Amino acid sequence: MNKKPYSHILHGVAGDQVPPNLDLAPKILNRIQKRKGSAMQLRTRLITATLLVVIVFTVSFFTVPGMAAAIGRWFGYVPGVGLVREGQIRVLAEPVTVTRDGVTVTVDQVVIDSERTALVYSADGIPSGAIVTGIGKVCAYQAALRLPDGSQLLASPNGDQAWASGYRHRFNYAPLPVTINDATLVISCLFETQPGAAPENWEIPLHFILASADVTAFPVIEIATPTPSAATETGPSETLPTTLAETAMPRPAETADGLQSASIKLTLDRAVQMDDGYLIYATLSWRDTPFTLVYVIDASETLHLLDGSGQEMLYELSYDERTGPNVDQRQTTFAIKTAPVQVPGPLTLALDAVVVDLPVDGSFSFDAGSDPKPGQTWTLDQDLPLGEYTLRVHSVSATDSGFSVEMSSKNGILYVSLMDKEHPVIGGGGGGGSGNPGDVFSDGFSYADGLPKGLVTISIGSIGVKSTQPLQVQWTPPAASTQQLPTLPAACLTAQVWNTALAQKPALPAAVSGRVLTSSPLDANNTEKWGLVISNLDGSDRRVIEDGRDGAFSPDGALLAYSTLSNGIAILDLATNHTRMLPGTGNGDINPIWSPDGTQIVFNRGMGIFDLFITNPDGTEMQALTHGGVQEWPVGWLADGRLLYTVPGRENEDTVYAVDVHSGTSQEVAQDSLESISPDSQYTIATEDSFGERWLTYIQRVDGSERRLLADASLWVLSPTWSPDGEWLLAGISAADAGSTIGGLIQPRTCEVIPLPAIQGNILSWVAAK
Amino acid sequence: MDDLQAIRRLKNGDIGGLEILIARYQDKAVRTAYLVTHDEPLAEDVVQDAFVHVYERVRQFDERRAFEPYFLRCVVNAALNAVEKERHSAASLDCDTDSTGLEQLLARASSVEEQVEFAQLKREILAALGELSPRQRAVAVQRYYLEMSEKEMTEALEIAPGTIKWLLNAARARLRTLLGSERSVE
Repeated sequence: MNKKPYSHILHGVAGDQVPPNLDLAPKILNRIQKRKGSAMQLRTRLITATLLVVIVFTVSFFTVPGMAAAIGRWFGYVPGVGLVREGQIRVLAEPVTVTRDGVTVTVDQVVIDSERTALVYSADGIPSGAIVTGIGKVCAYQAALRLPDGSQLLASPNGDQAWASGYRHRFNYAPLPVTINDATLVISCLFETQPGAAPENWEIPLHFILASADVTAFPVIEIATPTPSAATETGPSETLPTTLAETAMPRPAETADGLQSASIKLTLDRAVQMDDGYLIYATLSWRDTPFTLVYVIDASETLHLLDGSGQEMLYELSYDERTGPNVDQRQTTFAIKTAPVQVPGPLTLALDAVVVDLPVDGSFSFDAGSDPKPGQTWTLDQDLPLGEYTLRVHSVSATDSGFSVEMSSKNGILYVSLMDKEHPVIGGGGGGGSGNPGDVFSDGFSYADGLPKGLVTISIGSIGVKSTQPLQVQWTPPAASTQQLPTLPAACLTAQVWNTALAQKPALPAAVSGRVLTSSPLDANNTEKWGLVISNLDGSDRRVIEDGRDGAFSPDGALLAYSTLSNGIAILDLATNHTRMLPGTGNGDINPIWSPDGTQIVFNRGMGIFDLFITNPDGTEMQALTHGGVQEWPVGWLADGRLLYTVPGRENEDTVYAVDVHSGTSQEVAQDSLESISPDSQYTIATEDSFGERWLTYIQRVDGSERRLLADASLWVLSPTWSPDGEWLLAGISAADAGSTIGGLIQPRTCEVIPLPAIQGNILSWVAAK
Repeated sequence: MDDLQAIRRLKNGDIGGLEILIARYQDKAVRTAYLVTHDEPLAEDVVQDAFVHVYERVRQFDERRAFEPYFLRCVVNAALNAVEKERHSAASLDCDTDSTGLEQLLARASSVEEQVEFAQLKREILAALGELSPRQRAVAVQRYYLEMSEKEMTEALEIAPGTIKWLLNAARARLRTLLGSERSVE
């Protein structure tokens, strides 16, 4: 008689009550877009000037104190603050720092223009134990600007960054009157800390002065927005300077999906010329459409940036107070930060599809009877025409306090908004469809006064559908501003090299062998189920450990130490298949690695703690190696027997330490992001942040010398793992636009690259074949 | 694409990364929330909020942490807050029957036959959970569904160890018999 884990039983208990084929994505994404829009309207009073002529104004790196404000013009883009209006600009006289109980709060920047008072402050040195990382009571955080008369300006943080011991927040308060040059920043408590666990009630005096010539700002280039007809029919105005031509490509009158989206316009608003690319603001307008909202969805698939030669360029979406939907103005502004522009010619922004929120007028009714009960279901099976779309309403089920409706659509309804206009509703929610014809999805809401009785009419206020109308716009950066950055030295692995190797399918050298441990989906058709996989490099002799999440082979390849999903660390004898638990370990103990001689195991203990522990393989002499309370992550072993580990630091700068496992003494050895160390302890693999959350991968000596580029940023190179003989590296490699990661061998000396399609998932360990 | 890649895509401003996380965890998250709220629309609402929270705070997500336990703990907390908020707003309708419910539940649990049909047992368990207080439900869900250790729950719920043990023991006492019976069904 098999026994089921409790979790499986409860999974089934809940599964009986939760609709199948959940697809919350459309509603969540819609909610995000709407929140961004409403937040933006609260935070800013954005004036989106629609200009018929090109305005190019280059901002010198100094301000113009006392100059009359010219609404619609920008002084420039101030790093950390954003776009600043031209006119009288005041700044913080000097950064102000206050330290209490080891926590330092610094007001780094204040910029006051005619629109806002932008304030940036950072907090650092917050004890890890004070920060609420998962769930738990959080203090009531507020950062207000108190004026001399005692009044306070309030705002919500709209730009943030965090690291292990602190964070940086930006606030946009109302603009301070020119007569007020002093204020106090009042911080109730530090962000997301437990009440009383860190210093509270901070008061930091601030003094503002007129901006001087040394304010740094990137110049803003206003891009002309043609009139709608010009944008749609004729492209760029002939009056535009050739360096700033904008083109809106002709579009068919109607999309394949029947939406009249020809009047959705894509235009470019402005570009900020930065050191390493442009920040380009673009707007989707839907003024002449019935839509209540239009927004970009799944940008990696739908939004493309092409350089002057037609090649795809890297970009990243950028969010600030100038972006988001504005329902009143019927437009959605988004911004992209481009990679350095190194090819002359026009940049092309192309959008393959957008999601539109389409108001509809439809309803259906059912008789709930005189005493509706939770769990009761009414089968309707009726088709509801909603304009060009049809919604199939399958059934309505009563929940404890409301109704859940199961629906489907054969022609692309992504989600619906349901309401009951006759009874007060307190909670909405529910799913949306995948857009795949026939997929059943649900939506529902709760009532304030319990389930209504009798005839219930449920109205459909709007539906979300995808418009696949292509939109495209071009802009040519000023020739003089084309950024000519130094060309990176050639890397062993680039996207081109990788694609060539994929096409040529080079054979695996006979001398390269061994067993590889990966963490990967166990079933290609079910990516939710992950586990550990041991296989040869060609994927043969595959062995699955379903309850494993990470692990490592012992140096002799005889044993595998792996962390189970809930029971601690297990040790598997690969010859006998006997598994035993490592005594003294439990749920939350993860990431075991072996000492080079196989006599000790180091692992991370505890979710959210991640201190390093060391033990003998039989569980004896278990002790904490570190006590930092921060996430110490083991890299590997130095020749002198010390263990290298990294601690993530502020702004993605890792600190590397070496710990003597006998004394527990740690010593900082470098500021670097290390991934792995070679078996002979001579070389490390390091990464360096590149553009757009990508990174460069280097090979270097342990001391950082002889640094050489191994892989450029055109590929994701994950978890580079050394071969047992130190001759090869095996990494998970994924092209920028690919959805899957496969293994790739790299020979660091010869730059030979060999794809290993059978190796999938996260590479964990590689051991010589026995 | 694993969670890390999805999170990096999302940090990169690509909302497609969030879609991947949604597709991967929405089902378990809604089930988790439902077990706490016992209100399916509310559970979905909670999960939607939780994903929106992920979106808004993804830049602060530490990539060295596993996403799933982090996220599901957030879901439990959000579900607990949501249901307690609703209970508070409907206080006049919500009699404090915890202790009575406990006794009744213990009596029911003790009377369950081992060979009760699986479906019937699931309904019994659902009812049993329904009679727990929201916080007890949260504890039970964390322990038995998310398989968190008591230490983790202590940290996560910011409750003194003694209190968490009490909550857990109360939930465990109510559920063990039912679950134990079910475990021997097949």
